Amino acid sequence: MKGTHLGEFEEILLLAVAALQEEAYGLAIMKEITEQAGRKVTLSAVHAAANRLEEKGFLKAEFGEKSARRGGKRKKIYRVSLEGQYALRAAFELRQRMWQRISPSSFQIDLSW
Amino acid sequence: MVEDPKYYEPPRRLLRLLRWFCAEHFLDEVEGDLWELFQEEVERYGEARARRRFYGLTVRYFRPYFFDRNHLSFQTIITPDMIRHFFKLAFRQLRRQRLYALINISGFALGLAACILIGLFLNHELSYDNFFEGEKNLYRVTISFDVEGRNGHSAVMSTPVARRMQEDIPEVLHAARLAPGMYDAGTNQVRRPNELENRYEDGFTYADSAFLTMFDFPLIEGNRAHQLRDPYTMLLTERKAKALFGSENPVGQQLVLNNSEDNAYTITGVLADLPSNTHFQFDYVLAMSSNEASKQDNWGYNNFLTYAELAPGTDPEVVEGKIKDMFMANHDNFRSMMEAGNRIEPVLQPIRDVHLHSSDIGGYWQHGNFQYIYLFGGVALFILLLAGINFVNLSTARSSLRALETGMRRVLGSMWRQLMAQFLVESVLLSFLALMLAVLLATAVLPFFNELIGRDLQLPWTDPRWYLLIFGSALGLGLLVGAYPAVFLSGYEPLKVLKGYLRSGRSASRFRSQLVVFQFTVAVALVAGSLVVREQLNYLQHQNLGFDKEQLLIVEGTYILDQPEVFREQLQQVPAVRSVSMSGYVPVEGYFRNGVSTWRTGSTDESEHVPLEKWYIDQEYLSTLGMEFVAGRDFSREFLTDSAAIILNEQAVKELGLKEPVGTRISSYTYMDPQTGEIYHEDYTVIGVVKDFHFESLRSDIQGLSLALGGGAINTLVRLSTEEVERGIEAVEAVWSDLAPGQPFRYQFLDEQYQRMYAFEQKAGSVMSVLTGLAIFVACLGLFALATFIAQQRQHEVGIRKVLGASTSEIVILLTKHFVLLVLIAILLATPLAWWLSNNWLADFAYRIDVQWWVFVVAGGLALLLAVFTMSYQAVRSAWMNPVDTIRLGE
Repeated sequence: MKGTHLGEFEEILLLAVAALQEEAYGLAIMKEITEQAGRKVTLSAVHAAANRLEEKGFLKAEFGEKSARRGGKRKKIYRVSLEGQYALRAAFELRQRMWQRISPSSFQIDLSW
Repeated sequence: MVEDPKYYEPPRRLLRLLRWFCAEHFLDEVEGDLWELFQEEVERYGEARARRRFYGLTVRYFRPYFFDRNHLSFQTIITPDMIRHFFKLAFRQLRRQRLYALINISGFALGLAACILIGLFLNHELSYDNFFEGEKNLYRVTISFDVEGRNGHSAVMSTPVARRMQEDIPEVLHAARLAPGMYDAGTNQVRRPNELENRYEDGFTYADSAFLTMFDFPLIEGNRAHQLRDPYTMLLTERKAKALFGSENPVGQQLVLNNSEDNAYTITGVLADLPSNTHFQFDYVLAMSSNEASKQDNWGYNNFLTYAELAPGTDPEVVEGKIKDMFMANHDNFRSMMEAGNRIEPVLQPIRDVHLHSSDIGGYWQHGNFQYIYLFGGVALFILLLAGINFVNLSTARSSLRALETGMRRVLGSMWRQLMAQFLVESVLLSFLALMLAVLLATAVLPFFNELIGRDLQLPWTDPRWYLLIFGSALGLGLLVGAYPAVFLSGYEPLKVLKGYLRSGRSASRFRSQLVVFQFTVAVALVAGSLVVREQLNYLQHQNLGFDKEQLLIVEGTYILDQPEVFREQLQQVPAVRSVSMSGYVPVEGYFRNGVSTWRTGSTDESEHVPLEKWYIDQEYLSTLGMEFVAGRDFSREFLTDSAAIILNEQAVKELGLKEPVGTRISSYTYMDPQTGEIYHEDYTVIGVVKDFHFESLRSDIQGLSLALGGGAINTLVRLSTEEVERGIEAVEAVWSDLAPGQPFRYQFLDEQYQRMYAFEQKAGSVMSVLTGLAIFVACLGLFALATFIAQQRQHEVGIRKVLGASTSEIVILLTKHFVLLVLIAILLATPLAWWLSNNWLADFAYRIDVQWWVFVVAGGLALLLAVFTMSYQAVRSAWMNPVDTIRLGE
């Protein structure tokens, strides 16, 4: 179980990487999450989580070009690995199963979409 | 070519910090993203704000996940086991090197104990008046002046200043006057209306009702809003309430002051006892409205300490300017003095500065002096520094003994950092042991210290900051003194050490010598300084004052007698009494003083009017005090015309510019009619000139003085014959209790009162002497240990020299001459330093000694003697050792 379990923030981060495609590096991921989730995320949190996900094998990374705007440093561009995709899928399915078990009558908001 | 767009560089120091703690494999990504983010933030917020934000961004990386484990992580390199191991080693070192441990610990302990006690004292001194609500807006109004070559600073204001400030200056929220020492607020006979026996009490002051609004002294009984409004109401402190009323509630009760039953004061409230850290000193507060003189708008009647509360955020300088305008508009004398080109400035003194920054302001209450704050604090730190130097010197000197250990450890894989940690643990352990000793020492010595400085200080055991402070300083001390030896010891090249190439480096030994020179420079300068202080105090006590202060009894408060003349006559019958005089003016601080404008009769030129002290005395005053005449004669009961006669001192003659003083007519101001503004004065004929005598502390010059008949029997001065002082006092008291039954007999000796003027310097002098003793002791401790070590190291050499025929004295010289040279250099350096410092201190005194050369000879000689004595013990011991033992030991 432990191997595939994703934390909420990890899940969002993986989704952001997937959405950004070729442009998924630290700063861009931070901005994507800030925009979509509307919450403040620090750069260090993104870096720590991304690197941990890389260690777990959910992300793969390669270095891009050096640029002066980055003080001569390379971009580390992430991509969701196959394990990552499985984990996302598993998380999504888990949610779907749980949602389906909710009877519409017990809910105030409209569940039909 | 496309020109490179300009990029903003993030704060370089933060990047360097990041590179230091952050692991290599994160750096490209983290640093790059941070750069990029910084560019965007500069564009969005501007560079300054972006730089501030960058700090927060970077610091967030300071968490274990990003750390460079090879280089930072203590968990893996320094394990708890290892720390336990370090402690074990440190204790072993202490046990094995008992002498050195003892010297280091006792040096540190003495230094720390001195710092704790002095720190306690300084903390108390600096905390004066910091507890009032809104103390930042509270000020005392003072005047700094420079008038006709006389400059000074005064805290007494005239009657209307407080009221006008409050009415005319919008920034002044409240202003209140305090008047200790006048009318009913002098020293008093106190009793309850139904009692007969009086008690003698002091600590009275008048106060305006706004005083308690401004200064939130806690009120134990009574309603704050209604205090001090009605005439003849008063407050007193809790301890006085207990003493006078026991367990009764004093509110509503009355007190009779000086037997005037018609004007008994009704108590309306009880104040908590004043804390020790306030410059206010009173036990009884009387409503200002009971004092008629306080109600008249007399701009020349300077008797009121005046305090002001400004609106929050007001610049005091603005208010100072407005006070000046107020003086210009209302105070004629002020205006004419300003127009004559004199400088007079109102100064608002923050309430917290009153205690330490009033040494130039005369006043009713004794204050501290900030110079001594620096002096004591500095000296205490120096003692600690000297102890620290001992540690550094001993550790580096003995490093060769541990070099082998260090080399071995390195070969076995110990890292530089671990070695550093090991040595630092040793020094920190040492400083903590010293701390414990120091706290014990400070606790034991505190009562004596309190007595010495006249305070009642306690170690703040209940204050968490105190623990933080002492543990923090012990840790800091340990790390600080341990740093150099640790670097030094752990820096040995392991291979060289193990191969035996060790030379205890030339540069290290030179550094050691420099430190010894520094220690002795400090010690010699302190000794010389203390000697100068002692000499000056001695000089003050034996200075010819112009009168005879010995065996002169001052019976205070004789104005309560119905017939003072009977008292005088009866005293003159007492065989032990040589002569008797009655006057409120005594030539020592703490008695009546005034300043009365005086001029040659007929002179209308305002600039020829000079302020003179005007004392009212009787015909026996000058002969009783033993003052000398330069010209003319004393007052005499045979001349009835003497009621219009006046005697001047030499300074007054000079200030008035009189050529032939005797026979000249002079006038002196008496009072101004508040309605008409007319100035009344009295005319006198000068009948004599008395030689200048000192009637104030020798810190100030002798001022112009005029003496006239009158004034009544405020105090009675009794000259006793030398042989019968004890019996004389008894006889005088017997006469007193006969004439004034039920009244306490209060007396002072003039010479004791005189000593009291220098009480503060006396205390400071004693504290300095003790600190000096400690400093020189610590310096000698270090020298002793160094000498011991050197003697041990060279015992082989000494043995061989002895075999070859060297005498004991030659060997002693051999072992001590280097250090003697160092001490001589120190004396050379200390002499100009101490000379400069002493002259700075002496500059405060108008009457002072010149710094004598012998002071430096004595200080230097003492240091040299102590140094030689300290070293000789070891030197002689090794010179007397049997060479067979020492040489064989060396094999």
